[in-house]
Amino acid sequence: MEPTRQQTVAEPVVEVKDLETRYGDHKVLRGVSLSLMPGEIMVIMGGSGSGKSTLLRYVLGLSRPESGCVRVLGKDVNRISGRALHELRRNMGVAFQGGALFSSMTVLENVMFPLKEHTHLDRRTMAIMARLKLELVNLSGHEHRYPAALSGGMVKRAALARAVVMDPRLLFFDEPTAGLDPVVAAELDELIVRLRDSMNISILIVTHDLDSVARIADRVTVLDEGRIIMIGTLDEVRNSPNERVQGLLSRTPGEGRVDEEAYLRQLTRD
Amino acid sequence: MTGWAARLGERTFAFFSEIGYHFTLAAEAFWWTAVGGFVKQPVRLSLIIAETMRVGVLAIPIAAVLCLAVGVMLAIQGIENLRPYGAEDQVVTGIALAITREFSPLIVSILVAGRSASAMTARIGTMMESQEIDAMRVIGVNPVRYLAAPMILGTLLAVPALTVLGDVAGVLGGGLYASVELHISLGAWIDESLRVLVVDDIRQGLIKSFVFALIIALVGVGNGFQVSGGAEGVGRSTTRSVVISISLIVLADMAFTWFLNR
Repeated sequence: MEPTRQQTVAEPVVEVKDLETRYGDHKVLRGVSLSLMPGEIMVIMGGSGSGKSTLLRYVLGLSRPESGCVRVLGKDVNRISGRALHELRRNMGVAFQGGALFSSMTVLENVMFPLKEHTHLDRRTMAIMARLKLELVNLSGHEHRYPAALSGGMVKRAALARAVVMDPRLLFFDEPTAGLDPVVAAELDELIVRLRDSMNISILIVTHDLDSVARIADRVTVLDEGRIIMIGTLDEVRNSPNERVQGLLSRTPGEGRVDEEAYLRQLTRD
Repeated sequence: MTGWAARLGERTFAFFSEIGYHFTLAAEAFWWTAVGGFVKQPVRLSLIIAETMRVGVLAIPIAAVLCLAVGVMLAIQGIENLRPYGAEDQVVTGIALAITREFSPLIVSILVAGRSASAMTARIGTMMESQEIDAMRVIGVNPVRYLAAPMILGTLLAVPALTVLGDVAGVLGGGLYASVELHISLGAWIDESLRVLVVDDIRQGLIKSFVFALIIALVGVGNGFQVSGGAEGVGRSTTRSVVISISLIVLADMAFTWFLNR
């Protein structure tokens, strides 16, 4: 096996162990374990309903798991004090699927927001830092527009700028390319790789876009119905004999996916 | 199938857990207000001022008009009903007390509930749905500190202030009608009103308005954080918070009047 950056002796920056969660009576995640190494771009892949966005919520400490633990930069996000979590979050940047830009603020104010809350810099300095990041994502000139006036791709890039404005060690990105046309999607992928190379961030991405996975992933985690069915490089995933993995790659619906008994029960239940 | 007893149990549990939720929210908001500054996560003064503007200052014209109208209405009723007894001039006392103790806090609070409880729910609810609240949390900004606390404090400042304004407008409204009907000068009306009013009347109104303000803000903010189900969910919660806050205000008013005046 060729030596890659993951094989240097290093602590994982994100470590998920035996994570189990449920939504009502429905088990969403069933014993998920994975780790993200420094400087790595790991993609979590899976069809819709596979639990990938849910997994991200738990990694971010937005919800408490049923059991299992999530360690980010060596700290258990569900066991540390509020203040320690606050400190930890300075080192994490998150770009949500819909951008989640604050609609009452301009793009520049959005990007400045983390700086305002975490630093005591004066306004000018914060504005300069925010503009630098906006330039990085090719959004200079749009800083005084409100999110409602931006296109889908611009919203994603603005969200990315806000996520990295504190120079985090970790970046999380939920569906970076969903809803974008292929050209814009490719540009965004390129931007993510460039960010990793220039800022040395470790990146965890959730997506179902295969083209995107091929362009950016160092390693791929395949999630299916709340279970990890495979973790490996893109080539390993491509050559996997697992038919669920192949189904996902070739975008064909998996055979035998529907348990007939359960399906009948579902149709006839009262 | 669940039986009626189980459903009753579930409803009761839901009812109490909701009450508990709102009190926790209040406690958390006040905790941040008191302690936030020391852990470098203050409740921002600029945001409190912005909320006070939104809830209070922008409602000044409509609150004044409503209380004025109530004053006129009370004067008409009072004068017409006291005339058979030849006691029209007693209407001053009646209006001064009714306005400061009851109508001003009640009308102002119902107005603010309609204007602002709904707005708070809609704003927070939309932010929940668009993941803005999640974004805030992962940036390390507690949404209770950043959003809820300023809304609660702003409402607590705005509603009593509007109530004082409503007191003035209501008494003035009564005076305007009486000056035409009974030929009392407005100056004399106001002098007489000030003479019959004691500090306790105003204080009763203000204490009420504080409690009503707390109801409005907690119901508005609390329902906002509990929004689920997209745009429709936001709409549902908004309606819910107006109905609940107005109902609670009227019920609380009854309880207050009962305990303070008997």
